[in-house]
Amino acid sequence: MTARGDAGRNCLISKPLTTADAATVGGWPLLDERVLGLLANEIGDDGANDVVRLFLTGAPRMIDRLEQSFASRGRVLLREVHTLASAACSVGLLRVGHVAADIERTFASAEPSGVRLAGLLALLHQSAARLAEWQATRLTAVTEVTCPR
Amino acid sequence: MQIDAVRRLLVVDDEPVQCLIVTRAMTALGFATDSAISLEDATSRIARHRYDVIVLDLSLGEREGISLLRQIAASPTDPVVIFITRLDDRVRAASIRFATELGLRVAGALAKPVGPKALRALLANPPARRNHRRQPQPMPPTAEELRDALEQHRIVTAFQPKVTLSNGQIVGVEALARWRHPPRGPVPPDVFIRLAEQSGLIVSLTRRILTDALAACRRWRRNHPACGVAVNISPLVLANPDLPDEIEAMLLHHGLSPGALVAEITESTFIANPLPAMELLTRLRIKGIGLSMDDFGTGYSSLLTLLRLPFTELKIDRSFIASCETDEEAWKIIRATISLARELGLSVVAEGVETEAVANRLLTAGCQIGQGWRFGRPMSETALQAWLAQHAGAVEP
Repeated sequence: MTARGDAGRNCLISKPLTTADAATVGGWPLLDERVLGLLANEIGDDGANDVVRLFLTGAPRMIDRLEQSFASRGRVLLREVHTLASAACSVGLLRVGHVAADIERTFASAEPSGVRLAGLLALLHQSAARLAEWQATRLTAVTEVTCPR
Repeated sequence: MQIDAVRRLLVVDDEPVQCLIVTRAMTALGFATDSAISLEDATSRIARHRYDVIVLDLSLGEREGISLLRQIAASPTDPVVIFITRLDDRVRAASIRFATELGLRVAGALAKPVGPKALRALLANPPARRNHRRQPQPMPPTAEELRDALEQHRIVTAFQPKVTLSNGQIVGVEALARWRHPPRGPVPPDVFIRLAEQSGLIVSLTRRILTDALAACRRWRRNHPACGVAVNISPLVLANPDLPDEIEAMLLHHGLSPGALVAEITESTFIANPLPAMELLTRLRIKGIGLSMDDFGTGYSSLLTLLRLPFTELKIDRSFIASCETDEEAWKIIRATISLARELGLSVVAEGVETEAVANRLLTAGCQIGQGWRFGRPMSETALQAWLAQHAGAVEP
């Protein structure tokens, strides 16, 4: 996969990660390229490229929806976080996927604080920018990757 | 020239990235693919197209994907269903059970994000088509037909052996009511037993089966003196305070000791007034008649009933046994039930044992007795006598 995917890049300015999630991201990498390598092995370079492009194209809207849902909280926010967790892991953005999954998991007992949500948003910006940069890199073949749940 | 029909797949997921991954992977396998990102979209597509495979996310935003299952079950095709979700194993297992109960062919449930390889693996061995799904149900029989059947002896007693799982020795026989209804054919026992309970005919039906069972038991005990018979007793019959004395008289009439009979009690029907039932069953036990809790794990208040009544045997319901090879949670319940029975000093019988593998697994878990097609189907008394002759010398002392 060599085509550079520019879709969605302009609005994905990398922001510094707040300290709120620094302790929760564990060892999950910002971008695990093996996930994308595996995806390319299975649906081809073009397919994987399209998947990444779709994620990046949708990222600005995802960010908008997340920001809007911060105010309404409740199930709307939960849905957005749920969607983000799934989509991020699908394209190898395991750190943001992990943080989103953790917020979703603990949502019923404790709705996330504003600081934590801001941290998630910053991490999503950073992750998407990293993914956009990656698009030009060469995929490597791997056989199995464990994603956060 | 034969043209293979193109297989059609629908992926239902509110997450577009996951939709794209699935559709790309399945397109590569030759599927024509559609995707739906909402329940309404999916409903509309299922109404318009015939799908061979449906990949369904269990969480669709604020809706649950599982609510689509009834529509899939009612659709004219018999699609393979695959669940994808980030919810935990128990939710996945419960969804599979629910879909299976609806008659759907469920290939499995995958944790998201779902990779094409895992999807392909599930589709490599799809569940067989279920021809019985959506077959028109025959009209249920009426109480009048049941009454006629009882009067004309068209309700017969069948016998199914209970054996030790370790070596196949017979330890008893269960008497089962069977109704062959011309021209309908066999009426399922759960249908006509429920009808009997609703119509009050359960008392006559129980008396008929008891009479047949004790008479047959008397005959086979000439050669197999330790082989007793078990008869199902509906909770509705337990309202009759004379039942223990009636049963004792029947045992005397057939020259049988009370230990030759086991009363199998199922709680398919709620015992509205448990005190008389407790008294009656305890009286049966005092007389020396065995008490078995049938279909354990189903019905009402099984644990409370275990505590209240002096059972001698516990029968694990066939629904747990049927799914123990594919459902690890069913197996955990079976193991816990065996442990519970042992703690209470009860014999434990596994119902619905159909394969040697399940029999061996149950034996390893500490279950001593099994009943099911693996050992013998319900059969006529004549066939049972032949079965017993084949197993001559195998009766437990």
